[in-house]
Amino acid sequence: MSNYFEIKDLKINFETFEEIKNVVNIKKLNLVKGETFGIVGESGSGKSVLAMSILRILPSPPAFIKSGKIMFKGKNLLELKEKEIQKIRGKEISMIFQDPMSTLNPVFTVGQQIMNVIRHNKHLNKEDAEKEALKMIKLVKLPDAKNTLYKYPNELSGGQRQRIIIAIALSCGAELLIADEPTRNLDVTIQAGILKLIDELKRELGITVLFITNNLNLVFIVSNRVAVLYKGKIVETGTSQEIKRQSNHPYTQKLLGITSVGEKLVI
Amino acid sequence: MLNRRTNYYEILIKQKLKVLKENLYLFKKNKLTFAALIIILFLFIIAIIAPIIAPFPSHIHGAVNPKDKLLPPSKTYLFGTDELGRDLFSLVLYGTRISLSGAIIAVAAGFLIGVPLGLIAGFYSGFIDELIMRIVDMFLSFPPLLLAMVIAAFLGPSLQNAIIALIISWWPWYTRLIRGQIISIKEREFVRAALAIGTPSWQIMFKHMLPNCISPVIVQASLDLGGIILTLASLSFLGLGAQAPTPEWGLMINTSRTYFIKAWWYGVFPGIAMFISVLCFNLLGDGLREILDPKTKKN
Amino acid sequence: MFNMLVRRLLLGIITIFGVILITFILVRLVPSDPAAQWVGVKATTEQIIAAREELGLDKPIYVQFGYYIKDLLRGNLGYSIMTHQPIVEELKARFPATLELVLFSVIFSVLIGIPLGLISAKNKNSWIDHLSRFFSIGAISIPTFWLALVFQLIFFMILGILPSGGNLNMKIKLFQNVPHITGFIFLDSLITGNFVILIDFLKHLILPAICVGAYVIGLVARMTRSALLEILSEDYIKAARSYGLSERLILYSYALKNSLGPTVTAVTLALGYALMNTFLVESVFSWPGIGKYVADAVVCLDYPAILGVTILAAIAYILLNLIADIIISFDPRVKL
Repeated sequence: MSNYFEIKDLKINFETFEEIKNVVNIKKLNLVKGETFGIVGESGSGKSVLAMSILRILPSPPAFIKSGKIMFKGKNLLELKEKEIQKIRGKEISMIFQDPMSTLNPVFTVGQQIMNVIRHNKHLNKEDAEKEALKMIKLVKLPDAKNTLYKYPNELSGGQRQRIIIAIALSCGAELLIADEPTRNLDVTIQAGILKLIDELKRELGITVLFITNNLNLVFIVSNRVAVLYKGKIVETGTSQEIKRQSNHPYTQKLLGITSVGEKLVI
Repeated sequence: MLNRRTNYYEILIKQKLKVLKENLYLFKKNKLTFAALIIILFLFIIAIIAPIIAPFPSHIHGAVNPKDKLLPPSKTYLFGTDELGRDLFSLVLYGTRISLSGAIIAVAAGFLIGVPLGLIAGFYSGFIDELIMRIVDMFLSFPPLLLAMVIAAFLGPSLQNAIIALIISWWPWYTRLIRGQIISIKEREFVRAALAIGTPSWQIMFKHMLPNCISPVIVQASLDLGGIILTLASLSFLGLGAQAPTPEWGLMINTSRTYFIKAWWYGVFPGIAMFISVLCFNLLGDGLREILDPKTKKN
Repeated sequence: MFNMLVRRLLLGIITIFGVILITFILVRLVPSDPAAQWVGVKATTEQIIAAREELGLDKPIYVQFGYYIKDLLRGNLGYSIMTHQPIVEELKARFPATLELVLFSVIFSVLIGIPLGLISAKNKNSWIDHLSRFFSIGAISIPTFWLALVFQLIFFMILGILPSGGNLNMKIKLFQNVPHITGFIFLDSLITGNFVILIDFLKHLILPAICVGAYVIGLVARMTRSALLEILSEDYIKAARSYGLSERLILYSYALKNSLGPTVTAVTLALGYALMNTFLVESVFSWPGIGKYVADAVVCLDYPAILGVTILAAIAYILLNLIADIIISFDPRVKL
């Protein structure tokens, strides 16, 4: 069975005037359709770089993809031309980010932002796009959908904004969702709501989720399988049960000994 | 005990060297800025040694050579001569002194007046802030050149008065700039901490806050050097600044208008000198902005 | 919104008042005697005393100020020492010419400057970017009055294809009936279909307009570039890309709207500088506008005239800033 999504020998470097630093070095990582795959690592482990490299939105310079393949449904995403990868963004693979406030454009209403994406990707006219937008807002369980359309990002709460972002990301039928620390900037109670939403949407829409976080507890709750990232390399993979019960790598073991990752470890 | 202290200094020095290396590298990377810096140094040297390299230094002080007036450029008179028979090349060289020193004095004075006022306004807020800022607003409500023109006109046309007029017109910009910076960092923790342990206000202002927000002001000052050279020349051009026989570039260009048809080269050379100077200052300021701007260091 | 307007208007009025006060005091501080200037060099003492009475200079200073304000409110700016004409009339006559020059220059410069900044930001660090940055910095470094002279030199003296000054050919002014509907030559000649005058006007306009506009192009291009660069590095642009939006859509629809604030600020600043450059350019090209009037007034030290123009310019500048603030307030981020 050909793999749905596979990363092979991916090497990404950061080149500054001082030095060339390797930030991602992944030998193999694959996703099964329909699962939630968690990637956990502390700040600086390269997880965001990895996430952005899939959709090729890495700022280059200073980041450079040196080698490797990212296979999605049989196509190597790294070899596609700009026009071709644009067709994949938003429509087949979509992404949500860490800070909902900065991810939304402050001078457009959220309705306009959803509709812009829908109209561009699905070529709908204004009325149809508005209907679609309303549908999406309801899908992410936001009350009073009609009025929400006309609100500006600064008029919404953090949790509401993140729901809008999820709505935008999934508005055009993406089947793989990359969630780059989507709850990091939210209060704990709101976090739960967003995670529940992602889970529900996963079942309703049948999407695959790549969930990136620095929170170990979170990743076990949310994901079927987990990969632990340390300094750009995957040090361990397995199902959540496996790793929780008996992890093989000293780093993971250290992580398990603390409730949340983020402290500097000396190995 | 000694070991710890020397280690600390070692680390400090290494840090500073690293920062210096970083900045130099950036500087060199932007070759244009580097070139501009070199040319500016060159200009300063010219200004200082003008009396030595000028072929006819006596012409500056009005030694007049009526039979040689309005000659085109030649081997003796590289840029030609003016209506009094003075060597234009020497005049332009001396003009470098006037423009550069005038600009530095004006910017430095404006800086020294404007920055402390802005510090005080931003730090103390309340009534004194309102007072200072209202005054600043009043000054800034004039289009740039106009205020200088009016002040120079009323003080009486002379080079010194023009410089004074420029100082008076320029200081409000620095006040506003620094006040904005101060206000944005006033709420930061290190200020509160310093206040909490009882550091005297002036120390907080000058030792703690100022170094953190000085870079935009330095960039502005270096950009202003170019602008002030232009404004000073504009004032002289209008008759409000340097008076004859001072070899100020703007004045020379104005005088050249009378002899435009007979001696077209007269006004061209001072203008080229001015253009190069201002261009280099602007390039330098622009390059400094790239280097010092904290945002571009975001990576 | 209304509150903000009222507040700014009040602030503006107070500022204007302060400006008038300062300039009035400056005039009175001048060592020369306005009465003596008024009657001229060859006046007798009696004439000077009579003039002093007539001009109200024998009254205490606050009374003089009161008269001045009263006159101002009635639209009377006093009399020019140079020409002994009411200043308001002189300014009214010259205002359209300056306005035409400034408007043309600024519109033309903004239309060039903004796209230049856009292309620069879009292709950051490419040769196009470096070239346009160099060009922009060059444009703001050129001494305007020197550029004017060089233009005259090249296009009038050497090539002989463009006139050396004025806004219309003397022959046309004297012998033809120049239409006078709006006071703006461009509009009037367009309305009446008089293309001879129109073309002649444009020929006279082009060099001064480029001189005034050079600085503006450089300024606007640089500010547009830096505003766009900052916007393009924001997270929402990254997100928009991840949704599959094309670079073109991102640049022209998203980034441009976000740059409205800084762009308006840039254009307002540019207008202020353009106004000043106009003064210099009008001198060189003998363009019959306020700038030339002021330049002449300055040479003769005609203080009432200088005062009048200063007040006018300050008012215009404050109004301009007010309009800019209003436009910026349409940005939803701005809390009113």
